[in-house]
Amino acid sequence: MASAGSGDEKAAAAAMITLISSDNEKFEVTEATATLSQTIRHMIEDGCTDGGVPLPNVTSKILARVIEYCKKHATAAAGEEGSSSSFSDAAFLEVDRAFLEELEEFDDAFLEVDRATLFDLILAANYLDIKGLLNLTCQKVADSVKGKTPEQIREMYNIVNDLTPEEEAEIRRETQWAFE
Amino acid sequence: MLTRSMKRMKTKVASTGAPELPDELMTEVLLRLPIKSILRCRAVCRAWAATLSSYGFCSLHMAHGDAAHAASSARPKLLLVAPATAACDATAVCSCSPQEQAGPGGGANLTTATFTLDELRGDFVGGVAAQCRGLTLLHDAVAPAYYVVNAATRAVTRLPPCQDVLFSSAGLGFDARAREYKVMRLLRKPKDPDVSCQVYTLGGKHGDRWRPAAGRIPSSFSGTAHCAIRVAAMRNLPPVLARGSLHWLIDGSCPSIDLAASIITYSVTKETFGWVQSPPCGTVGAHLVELDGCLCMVRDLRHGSSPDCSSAIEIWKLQGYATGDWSLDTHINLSSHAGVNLVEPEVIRVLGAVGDGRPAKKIIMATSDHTVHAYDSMSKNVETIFSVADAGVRYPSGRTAIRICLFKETLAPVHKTHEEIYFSSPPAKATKEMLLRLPARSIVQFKRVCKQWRSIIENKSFMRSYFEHKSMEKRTKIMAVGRGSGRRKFFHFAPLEKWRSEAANKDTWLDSKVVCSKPCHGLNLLITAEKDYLYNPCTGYCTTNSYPGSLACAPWETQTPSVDLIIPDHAFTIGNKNVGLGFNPLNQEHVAVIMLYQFKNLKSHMVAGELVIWKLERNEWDIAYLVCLKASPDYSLLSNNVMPMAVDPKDGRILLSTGRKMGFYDRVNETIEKLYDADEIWHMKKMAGASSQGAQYEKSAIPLVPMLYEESLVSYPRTRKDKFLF
Repeated sequence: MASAGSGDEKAAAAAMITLISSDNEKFEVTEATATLSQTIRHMIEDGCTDGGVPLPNVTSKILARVIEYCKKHATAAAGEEGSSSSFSDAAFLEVDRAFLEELEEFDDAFLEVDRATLFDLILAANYLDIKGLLNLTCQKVADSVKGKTPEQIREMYNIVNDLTPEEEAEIRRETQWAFE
Repeated sequence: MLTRSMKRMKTKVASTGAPELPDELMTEVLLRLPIKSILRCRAVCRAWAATLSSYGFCSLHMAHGDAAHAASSARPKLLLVAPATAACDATAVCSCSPQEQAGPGGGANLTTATFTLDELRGDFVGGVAAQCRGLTLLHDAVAPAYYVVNAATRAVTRLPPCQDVLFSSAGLGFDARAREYKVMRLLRKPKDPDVSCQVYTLGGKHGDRWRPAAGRIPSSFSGTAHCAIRVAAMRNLPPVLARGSLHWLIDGSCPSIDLAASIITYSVTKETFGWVQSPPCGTVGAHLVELDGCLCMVRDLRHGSSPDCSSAIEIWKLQGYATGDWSLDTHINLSSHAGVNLVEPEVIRVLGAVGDGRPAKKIIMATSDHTVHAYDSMSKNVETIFSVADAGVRYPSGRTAIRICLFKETLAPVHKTHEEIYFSSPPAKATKEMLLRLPARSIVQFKRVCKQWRSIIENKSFMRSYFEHKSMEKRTKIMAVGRGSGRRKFFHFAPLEKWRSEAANKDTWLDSKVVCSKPCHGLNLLITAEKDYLYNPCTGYCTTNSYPGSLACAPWETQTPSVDLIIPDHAFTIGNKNVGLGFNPLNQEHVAVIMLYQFKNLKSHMVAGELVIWKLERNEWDIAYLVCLKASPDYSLLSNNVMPMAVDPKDGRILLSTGRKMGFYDRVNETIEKLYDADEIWHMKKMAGASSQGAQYEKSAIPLVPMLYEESLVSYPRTRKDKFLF
């Protein structure tokens, strides 16, 4: 991968991009998969992906998961593009629906991870700027916070309560219904 | 990018090595929480409280909500103002999100009562305008008062009262430059032919005050603006916000107006007046709405007199303000939808659209039958998505105002007025409690203590608590009514116990016959031949009512007593007039009913010496009390009209009055304890040797009249406001 310099060589290799994790593991992915990440897309556009893309913030364990996500969703995006031209075609709509269901199942399974991994995925999604993944993972965390009381949230995230009892009472009084 | 306009949260985290997220990513997580959870998270720590209440987070949340809304097949969220509660002193505001029929909910509507607004009377809420960035403006035509509501956070503020306003129409907008919500209203003041525009800024530096708008209405448009207010009130059409301006429509009902300018506008940011040319089709029966960010006009072709009269509505879109270029955007046929009756309802109003800008947007319409329908612009189908009746809410029939609107869930703050903030403070609460325990006479004087006391005392809900508080006192309250002296002091009131000492002072003797009504909602009606006086005997508030000379038979004209059907000196009527006092809780006004007659027969069908009192309970009449008057010749039914006035809440004794005498009847002993006796006053006078002086009073009037009363602070504003109640 070291010397991909001249124009025609680049065209041939354009389909594949090498991503290098923080622990120096290399992952080869298609450009369609990689460009789900806005960060990498910009690097490709700027032509600075030769010799692989180092991602010092992402471990190999997390990167593998991210790539898994991107691969699945890249095919989904391609499928959507294909079908959008014949929008009203019932058969295509049917295929779309089946595909979306499959994608949803994949997402659900994908999120079955411990909290540390989930947080690492959020960090990676943010760093790589992958909108779909960021939304998915943040929503997962949000769902886990949804029904919790302030006390439970503090415990979950080791947050020190620096509100005075008066201040906290005031906040509770302002929107009392939310605490019932 | 994630941290744009956001301060870092600086959350204090106990370092335990547990997984954590940087604050800006925690913000991303929090954005995805439902409103209720976000409000709860404000109590986690100081940093979260600050972030989650910040303008930046609120804007991000709004943008995130819009994006999520556009991405999914959006369901409209509806806000519904229910009719007032039975007591007419509060109204529930409900939110609901109709489920799509294909969904697992099976078309069920989830309606949740969001909150209750005290004092608001839902039956008289004018048409509800579309929301503005999550806030909705409600107008109570009875009070009259304006409320700003965030249905998602359940925050409410009641704007400062509309003093000295004859007619007004208000709308809510957002000034993006100053980041402020503004309520702008067109209004006409008494004694001012011109219409002006006033602005109230929520939580602004101007305090609890309506200030004049920066731009004035040119005097040449004064008539047009007046029409705009009238149309808004009569047809329940609040102004419509589009492209940063509020729009008032003038319809064909204003003949003298040049209809070239049939829409007047006020810019929310610049506060400048403007106008828009009407579409070629005219504005008869039309209303405005904002769709796809554009101003649109909806024409109901059912009501037009034009040749294209049919069961359909048309939506016209304003393409350019400068050119006044309107184009026909959508034509909705009302008659061809199976199972959906859109032809019958008197009023159909387009509330807005969901999925704006997408090919398959849905136009949401509400009807005066209190149903909501969605029109699919692709399939041209109409489906019923909500029916108020299904939600268990019943409106009195015959009201056409549409009290349903679309709303967005946002964190937009609703700034309380300074007065509201003060009222909820501990010192104000203590003051209120203290004032509740004082007699009404002192309270009226305490208005002068300071501005804040005055605002407490004049507050409607304080007045109501006061009335309730005083009604709990278990005693029968009676006053002796005498003649007053001084400006607007027609009568003089003294505690009944002092009637003997009062009677000694002849200045307060009544010189003509006065009949007092029983108290009703804090006021009494005092009736004389010429005039009726609506009185609050505790505070001295009074308003008079005289009759036009055109009555067929004026009450003060002398009667020719014919036959013995007429008792010339009936204690509770005057001449040929009988007046009663009632209270209409719906529009919160006292009602006096006058009966005038040529002949009267008020002789009751009496059983000698016994008064039978019946009571209606659970639709059945039953004898409640038997009053035996055999032992009390003064109350003989042969020579008197004996009126049972009240039952003492403490000991169950019955208050009886003949007009000249008043006393408590003890049911056990069958005796009457004397409270007041007019004849004794005469007797006293005779004893004192007064001779010719008192002759003029003889028998013509009772010197002091006993009157039951309720302790209250009830009064009416001096300048009567015209209320548009539809």
